[in-house]
Amino acid sequence: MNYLLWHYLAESCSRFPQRPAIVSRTTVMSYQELDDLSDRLARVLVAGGVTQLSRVAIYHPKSPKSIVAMLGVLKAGGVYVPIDPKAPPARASYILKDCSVTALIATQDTIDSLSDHLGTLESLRLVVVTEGDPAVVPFPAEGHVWSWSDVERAEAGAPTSAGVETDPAYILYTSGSTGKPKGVILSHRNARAFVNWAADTVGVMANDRLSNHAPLHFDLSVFDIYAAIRCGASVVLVPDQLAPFPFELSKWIESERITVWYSVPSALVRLLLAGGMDRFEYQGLRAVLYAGEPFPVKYLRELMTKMKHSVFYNLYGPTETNVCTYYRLPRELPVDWLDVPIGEACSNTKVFAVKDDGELVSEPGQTGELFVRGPTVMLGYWNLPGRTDKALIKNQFRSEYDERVYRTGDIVRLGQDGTYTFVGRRDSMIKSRGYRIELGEIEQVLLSHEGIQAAAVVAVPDPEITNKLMAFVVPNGKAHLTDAEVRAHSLAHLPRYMVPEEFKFLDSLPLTPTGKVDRRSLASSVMEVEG
Amino acid sequence: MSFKERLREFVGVEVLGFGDATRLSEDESLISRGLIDSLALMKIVTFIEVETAVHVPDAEVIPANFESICSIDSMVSRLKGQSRT
Repeated sequence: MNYLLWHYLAESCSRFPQRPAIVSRTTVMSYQELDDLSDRLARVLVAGGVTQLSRVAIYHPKSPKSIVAMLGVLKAGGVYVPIDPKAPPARASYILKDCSVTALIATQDTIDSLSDHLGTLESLRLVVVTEGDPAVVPFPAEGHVWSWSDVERAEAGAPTSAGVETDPAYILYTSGSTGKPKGVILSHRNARAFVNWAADTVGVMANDRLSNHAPLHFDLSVFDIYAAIRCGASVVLVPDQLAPFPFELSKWIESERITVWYSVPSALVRLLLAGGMDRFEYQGLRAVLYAGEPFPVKYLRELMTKMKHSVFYNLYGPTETNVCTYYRLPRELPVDWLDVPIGEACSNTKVFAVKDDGELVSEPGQTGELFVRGPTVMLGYWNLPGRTDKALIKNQFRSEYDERVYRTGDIVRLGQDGTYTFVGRRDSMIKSRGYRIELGEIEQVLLSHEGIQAAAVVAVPDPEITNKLMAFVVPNGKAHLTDAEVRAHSLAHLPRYMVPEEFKFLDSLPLTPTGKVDRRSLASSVMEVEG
Repeated sequence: MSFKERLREFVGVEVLGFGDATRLSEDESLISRGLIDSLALMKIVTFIEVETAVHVPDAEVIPANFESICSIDSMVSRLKGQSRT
C-alpha cells in the first residue's frame, strides 16, 4: 500500500527504474540509483541512532545528494529538517538545537561554518559528511561520522520503518514574530494530499521535466520534487551559481527542455526584465506555476506573451497548509484586472472566510480572514504548543465535531465568480521575494545589538519584489553606530532576504497617540522621499 | 579611490556585510563560493551603473563577468571602452 511520502519513489522505481529522476549540472541520477542510495543512507542513519521520528538536519547546498538525503531520512522513519545552506551559521545552529537533531547531513564547508556557533549539541549522534574530509569534523563528541563513500558501501535495501501517514515527515522553519524562526511540522499525509492534487491538476507525466528553482527549505520545492517522483518524471535542479543570472536562466529553461516551471513571481519578473527572453520560444514549457506573493499584473501579462505555450497557475497557501487554493489563468487577462485571484480551494481541501463579526463571508464583495481545513493542514509548530493553539483553532462552524482548522491571518475578498482575492494581512507579517517575513523578528535581531536602543522595520511596496524593507534605528546614547556595523550584525543573524535595504538612524521613533511606534508615518516618510 | 577599490568596499561592506572590506580579496570567487545571490547581484549592477554611468546590458550579467571584484572591474573597463568607440 502506498501512503508514505517515500512510497512514491518505490512505486516509480518499480515502473521506471532507468528513467532519470534527478538531473543536475553534473549528474543524472536514475530512479534505481535514487532508490538504492536512499536505502543505503537510511541503513546508515538507523545504525547511527536515528529512530522513528528522530529529527535529521540537511544543511547542504542543493544537489542530487540532498534529495537522496531527504528520502533516506524518510525511509529511516525520521523527520528531515532542511536548513538554508546560505543561512547565517548562528541561525542554522539555533534550528539544530531547537529541534534537537539526532543526525546531521552536511558538507565539510557547512560543518566548518557551524564550529564557532554550535557549542555542544547533546542530541547529535551521527554526522554524514557528503563532501570533504570526515576526519576533521569536530562533533559529535560521542557517536559516528560517516563519509558519502561509507553510505555508498552500506548494506542495500531499505530498513523496515513502521510509520503511518500522519507521522511528521519534515519540519520547515519560517520567520517567527518573537525573534526566532519557528518550525512548521508537516506529515506524510499533509504533503501527499497536496502533491496528489497538484500532480493531477497540472497533469504531470513521466516524460515531464520539472524545474526546481526554490531552495529545499522553502515549501515550493515540495511540488517539484515529489510531484516529479510520484509520476516518474525528472526534476531538474537549477544550478545555484546560475540562479541569480536571468540571462543564463532563461537559456537554461530552454536548453534543459523544462516542461513545468514553478517559482516565486519575483524570479519570473527578473527573467522578464533581464532575461533576454525574446531569444527563445519556450515551446516545450507547458505549465508555469507561481506562488508566494502576488504577481504584478502588468508583468504577468507580458510574461504570458513570452511563454505563450504555457498554462499559468497562481497557487496560494502558507507553509502551514501547503497549497490550499489555486487559480488557472485565462489565456488573455481582462484589461481591467489589477490583481489575480488566489482562486478556489484545491480538491480535498476546503477554505472559508470569516468576517470581523464572526459570520461567514457569503456574498461577493465581502472580505474576511481565510481559514483552511483538510488533510494538507500542518500538525503544528515544533515545540510551540501555545503558537499551535492560536493557529489551529476549533472550527466554530462544525462545532459538533472536534475539528481544528488553520487560521491564515490573510484577508481575502470573495468575487462574483466564487473565487477569492488576497487583500492583505491581519498582522505585521509581510512577503518579499516570496519569502514570508515577520518584521518583529528583524527588530528583535536589531535590538540584540548592544548599541541599539530602539528599532522599527517597515515594509515599503515594491513592484518587482512585493516589498522592500527599511529599518529605523535609535542608537543608545553612548554608541557611535555605523551603517556598516548594523548591516554586518544583521547579515550575521538573518537570511539575506530579511536584511533591510536601508538603515536610517533616528534620535527617537515617532509614536502614535496611544504610545505605539507609528509605523505608518515611518513608511510614508520613506515613500515620500522615493516619490 | 579607484573604481575597483570603491567596488570592493561596496561589495564587502554593503552586500556581504563583512564590516571591513579588507576581508574581501580582489580575487575572491564570489560565484563559486555562493556569496552572490540575485539580491546581491542587483545591488552590484545598480552600483556599477550609478558610479560609472556605464550601462550593463543584460547579456553581460553572466557568471563569468561577476566571478570576482577583478572580473567585474575588467568588464566595466571593457564596457567603458566600447561606449567611447
